[in-house]
Amino acid sequence: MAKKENVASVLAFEKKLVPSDGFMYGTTWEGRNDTVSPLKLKEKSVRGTISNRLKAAIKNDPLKLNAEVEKPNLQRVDSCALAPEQDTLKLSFTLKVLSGVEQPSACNSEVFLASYSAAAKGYIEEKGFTELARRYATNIASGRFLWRNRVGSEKLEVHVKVSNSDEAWVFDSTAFSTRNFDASTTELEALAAKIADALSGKTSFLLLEINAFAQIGKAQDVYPSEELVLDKGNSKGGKSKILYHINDVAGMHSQKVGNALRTIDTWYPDFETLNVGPIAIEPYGAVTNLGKAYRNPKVKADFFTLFDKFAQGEKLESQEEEHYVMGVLVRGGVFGESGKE
Amino acid sequence: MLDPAIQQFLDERKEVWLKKKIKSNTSAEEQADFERKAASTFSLSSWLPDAAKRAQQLSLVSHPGKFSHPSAKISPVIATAERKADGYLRTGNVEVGLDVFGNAAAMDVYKFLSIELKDKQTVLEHLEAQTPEIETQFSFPDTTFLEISDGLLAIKQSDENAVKTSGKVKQVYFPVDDDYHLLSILTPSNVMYKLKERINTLRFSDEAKEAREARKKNQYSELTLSDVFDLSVIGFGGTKPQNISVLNSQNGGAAYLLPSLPPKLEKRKIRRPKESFFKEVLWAKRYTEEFQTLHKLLVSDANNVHIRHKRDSVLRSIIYQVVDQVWTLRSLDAGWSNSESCDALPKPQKIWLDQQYGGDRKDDKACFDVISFELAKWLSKAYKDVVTKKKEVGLGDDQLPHFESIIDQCKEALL
Amino acid sequence: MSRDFLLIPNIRIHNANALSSPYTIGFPAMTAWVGAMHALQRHVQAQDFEDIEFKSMAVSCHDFDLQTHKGENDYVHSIIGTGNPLDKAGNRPSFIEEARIHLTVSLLIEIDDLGFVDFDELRDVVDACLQGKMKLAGGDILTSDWSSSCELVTVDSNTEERQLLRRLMPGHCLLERKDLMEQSMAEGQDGIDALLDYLKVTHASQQDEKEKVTWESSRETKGWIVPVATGFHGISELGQALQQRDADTPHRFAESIITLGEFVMPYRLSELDQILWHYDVDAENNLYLCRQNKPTH
Repeated sequence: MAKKENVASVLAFEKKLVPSDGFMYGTTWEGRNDTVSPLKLKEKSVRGTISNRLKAAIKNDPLKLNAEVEKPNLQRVDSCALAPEQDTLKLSFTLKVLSGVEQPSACNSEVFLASYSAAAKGYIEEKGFTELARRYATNIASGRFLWRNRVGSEKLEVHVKVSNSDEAWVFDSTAFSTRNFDASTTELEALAAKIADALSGKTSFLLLEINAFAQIGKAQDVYPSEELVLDKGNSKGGKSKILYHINDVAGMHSQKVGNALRTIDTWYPDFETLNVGPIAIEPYGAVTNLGKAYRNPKVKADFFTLFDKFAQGEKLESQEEEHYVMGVLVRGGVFGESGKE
Repeated sequence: MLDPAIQQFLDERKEVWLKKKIKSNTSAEEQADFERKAASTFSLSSWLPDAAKRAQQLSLVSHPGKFSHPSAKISPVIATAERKADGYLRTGNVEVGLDVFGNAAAMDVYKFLSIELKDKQTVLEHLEAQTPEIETQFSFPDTTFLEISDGLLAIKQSDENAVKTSGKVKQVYFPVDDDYHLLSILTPSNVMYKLKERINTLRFSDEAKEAREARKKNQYSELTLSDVFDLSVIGFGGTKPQNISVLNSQNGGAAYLLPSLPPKLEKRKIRRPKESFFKEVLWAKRYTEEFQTLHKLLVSDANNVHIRHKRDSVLRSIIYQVVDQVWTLRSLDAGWSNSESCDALPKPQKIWLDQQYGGDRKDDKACFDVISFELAKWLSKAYKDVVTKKKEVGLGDDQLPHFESIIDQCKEALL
Repeated sequence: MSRDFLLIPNIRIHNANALSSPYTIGFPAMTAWVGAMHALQRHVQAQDFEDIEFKSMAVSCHDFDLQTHKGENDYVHSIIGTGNPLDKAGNRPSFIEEARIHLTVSLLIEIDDLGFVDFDELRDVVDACLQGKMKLAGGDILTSDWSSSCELVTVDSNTEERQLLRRLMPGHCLLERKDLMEQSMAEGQDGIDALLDYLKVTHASQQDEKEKVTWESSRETKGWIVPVATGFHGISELGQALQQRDADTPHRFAESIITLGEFVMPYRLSELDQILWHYDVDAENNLYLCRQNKPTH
């Protein structure tokens, strides 16, 4: 157990990967570099069918079942789709990569700060963020950030440009798997090197302009982020699905883009047997849509257990654990002693 | 003699307890047993010493930490401050009670302390002042008044001596001279919920309802109706507001937030001029009030500095409102005036209104001259249209040079 | 007298903190903006510009997008949340609602006694801070191009002041209108009523000779009057507290305070000091404030 004065009760880190919102446009595969038009949200009323699991009493009574199924289930929802002549979705965002992971934004123990900084600098010197950067780069190249829009696309391409520079790459995303980080190309390594240099402070700052193109078929639906409305309106007949837009352009939340980019954790216990694939870097390995946390403190695989050791200068059991700890610090958050609950 | 309010409090508690115990199948014997037990439990002499022990499970505060984060644990804070007409909404400038948080099972103690006695003072206030009235009522053979009083007053004391903030509370550095103070920012739940109460009174009082009804039917009413628009609602504690504080629970865990936003330029409502900004976008009637004031000042016999000053300021206010429209057009996509439908719009107006010319505009003297002349003409015509029913010859035209000079003074605003 | 300003145009800020006080939502608190100026000063001083001091600052808000939602028949807006991370059990923790706003702003910062510095170098340092090191009002700074690179503007005359004000267009700047509240409070209103009187819209009816009834709506005063968070009020003694951010700085509990403000387009103003704000500590009354250099009324 660490001594009390070596513990920071207030400790926070700013995120080092800062994506913007993703803006959605419609275009054609052939004309994707020339003309694009912003995608707007449409509101529609849908007559839903009963598809939820019904209570046994209703299910087993044909009359009741009929009545239940015939109840109009009218819902108003936002939707978004390509125009009839468009077959390709373009998603645009920028990504800022920052250095300074060795420096917390708040820390109230000098002893802790000194030992943590030394450990972080050691990692930067030794590993130079190359493994994390390669994984982040792969998630850019594969277009993982398109989420559901990636599914079923015939062609998939990601254009990456370094802002204020001529450096640019085009990735054929179908060549990259979202299940592993094995693929390697010259372009990928070049992008990864840029990211690694920025994270480790060799360059002060990196801004990437990222444009992804997914050929999904004419007039097909696309999927902007859904808004989490903490509804206090209490009015009936409200919309049941509200999608995100920025000044009338359909959008993907920056948080959602960020979550995809840091989906690099293949180092959690039972990765091999569970077959869930890479999960997003999170302190408890939590995956929101599965409602599960894959890094349980009981098996000492969670961030806080590992970080306490790491920051005190102890050697972790494997370099994978180090990568994971640094991944959480790049993600940022409030990690003080009082933040563990 | 026990204060009737206290007696009533105990009686209510007793009844609730009995209702829970006595079912339809309870035998008469059992029932008598329960009643005996209740009479003893809810007599002041046994209930109060027990309550005095439980009071320490509660904290009476003005700024509960859990509004910052549901698991923030901080020292209890009871803030007091002097009332001053300093223009700030803060603790001290609104009369409010305290909030309370702690073990839900001890909330009856808080209710007990809040009971108003015959003299309108609460039990708590009596205890704090150690009044003889309360001392006589709270003295028992087995427990002294001091024990009771100390126990109950624990609700206002912290059991720890050290002040404690939390990493989950926002802590702000504020520069003071050459150093800093570190401020842990807390929420005055009592002031926050008082604001909600006042807004709800505005909206839902009987008077408001009556006035709203009259307005709906467009009937005359002596009453007025007030409303605050664009409120947002913020929730504390999710489905368990009682975990945050008592006041929070009483308010269903929801507070109002007042909007604090700049106006939006109404891009969608503005008309893009096809031939003339002055004819198509400006609408003299919109400025009726200002032109009438101006007219009164212009025809006034008095001609002193004060009047002239007032007159110029009214004119400026009209010009500024015109410029607001100009900026709305400038906020449209640069190049909007290139469209064929704007072919008839004179070039100086295009330069003035379309942001594609934003860079050159300020050095274009010729353009400014044309615009200021057009604007002066519009002002005099609008003035004439608004204030005269019959066309009085000369009115307005006389003012043209004066209008122009004011416009010239507003040059920076117009460009 | 000539004055030097740093003009940082068109900064896009993503997810800034819109909960400016427990009573208000929208434009971030004035303390957050003046605080950003102070943080920038610290960064710049740490980069070989030890003597640079920033005196006061103005924000011009060009565009904003508050992340709230109002259903068609709703009276109130609801906050649009962000999904909080799950806890170790995979559950969503009981969370605090965070209100967010996207903004495009220009900042104008007055430099005290610029002296002889290499401005190109200073500009690079400021740009680098904004791009790589700083947040503004709790939000991320987005820069897709370099048009928000800062520049130095020296002002020698009132004409130049007005020209600089014009460069903050199109946008709205905040003026303090504490005068309105002070007046109501001097007349005996408490803090809440003094505030609400200027925010509420009142509908009243009139009846003319022909018994025609008209209902009209009005507000107490002209101008775009809003409640604004401009400082903090210390509510406990200065001292030490467990779990404070650093043990060497005197600590106390405090609350946000609000007063009235007015948003105006800067072209209407004649002096920069009307929109420039600075720190002002009123120790006697435990007030930690941001004040306008020159009150409007």
